Amino acid sequence: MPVKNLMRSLAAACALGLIATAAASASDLIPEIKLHNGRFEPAQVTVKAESPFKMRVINAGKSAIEFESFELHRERVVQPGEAITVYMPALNAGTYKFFDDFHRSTAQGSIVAK
Amino acid sequence: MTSFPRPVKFFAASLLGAALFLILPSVAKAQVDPFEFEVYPYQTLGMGMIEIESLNSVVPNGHSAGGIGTSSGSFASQAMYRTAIEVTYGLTEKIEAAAYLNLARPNGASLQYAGSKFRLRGSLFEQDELPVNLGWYAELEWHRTPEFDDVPLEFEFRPLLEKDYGSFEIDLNPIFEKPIFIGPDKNKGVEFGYAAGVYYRILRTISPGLEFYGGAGPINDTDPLNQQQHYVFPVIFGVLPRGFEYNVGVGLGLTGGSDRVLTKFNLECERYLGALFKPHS
Repeated sequence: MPVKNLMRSLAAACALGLIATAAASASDLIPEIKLHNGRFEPAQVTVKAESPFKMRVINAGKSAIEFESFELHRERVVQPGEAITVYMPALNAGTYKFFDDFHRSTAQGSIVAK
Repeated sequence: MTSFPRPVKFFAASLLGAALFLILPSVAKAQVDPFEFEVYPYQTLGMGMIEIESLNSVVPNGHSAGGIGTSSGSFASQAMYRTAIEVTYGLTEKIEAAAYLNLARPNGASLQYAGSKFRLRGSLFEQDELPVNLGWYAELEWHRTPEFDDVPLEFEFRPLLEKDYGSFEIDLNPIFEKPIFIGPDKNKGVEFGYAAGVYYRILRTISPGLEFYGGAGPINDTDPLNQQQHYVFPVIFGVLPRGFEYNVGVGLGLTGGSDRVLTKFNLECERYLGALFKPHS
């Protein structure tokens, strides 16, 4: 019985998640960053603080990249010529660094939440 | 009225839930996998990435008889060194596959084969698309080594739950495990266990965390609490030069059925190998 309850709770969590997704208030304007010639363009993205948002990461290069941010707990591989959408939670005002983990010395940038 | 931060509330609620689950008479726990003290997060390895991981543990203060503590076979847990070599590959953006080779060196014996595992792990939806990040984990484990584990073939399933609160990360892995197809225990029911972690990201190179591992035995016939295994591991984790990631900790047994002290040291390295399948745009 407790296992059934656990499974029900998990199912309820999933259902709540789906409802919350439908009601998500992420901004319609999706900032984009593009990795081109080993650098992020733009290298700095400004977003509204305290509001969830989505961001598009485009890999315009010829090799794979790994979009990573320690502060934002993000680590996503982007294949050459592909793009991904990264969901971000509401951020406190501040600056959050990101980088391409495969080319750390050149490909760096930041998200500024204001 | 005192107001606690949300991570504290979430974690306290999780602990309360786990405690209630353990004391309910019809509920059970599963064994701890002593070859893998690792809590799985939501995020899988990226497509085309390969990761090689060395998972190590030593029992400096365990039990001198087999079949108790982290021992599931005839070898005693005391002074046992276990190591697993895990190779993981990112099949798609959201599914990874991994194979494990388990080796062990019991007290006074040489390093020897102790079993194998294969697993698939996946993440559902996008990270932070849902209020709680969800994933799944399915594993097949086989042994021809009853001196280490007397169950020849087992299937394990874990739902993976993850939630971030700022720099805090909370991971919950309820574990459901069942012997299948062969062996004297093949008709035994499902066992319940758990792996969980709370991490606080301070620096990329070093951050602290607390991990929890345990089991309650078969769901239909829970082991008495003093025969169950429950461990808490204070850990540190981070990234070393050249991209090597580590997670080191000391595990303290909380029940009579647990080993008293364990240590763990996990080291992993990931590199981009190339995608096997073409991504869909």
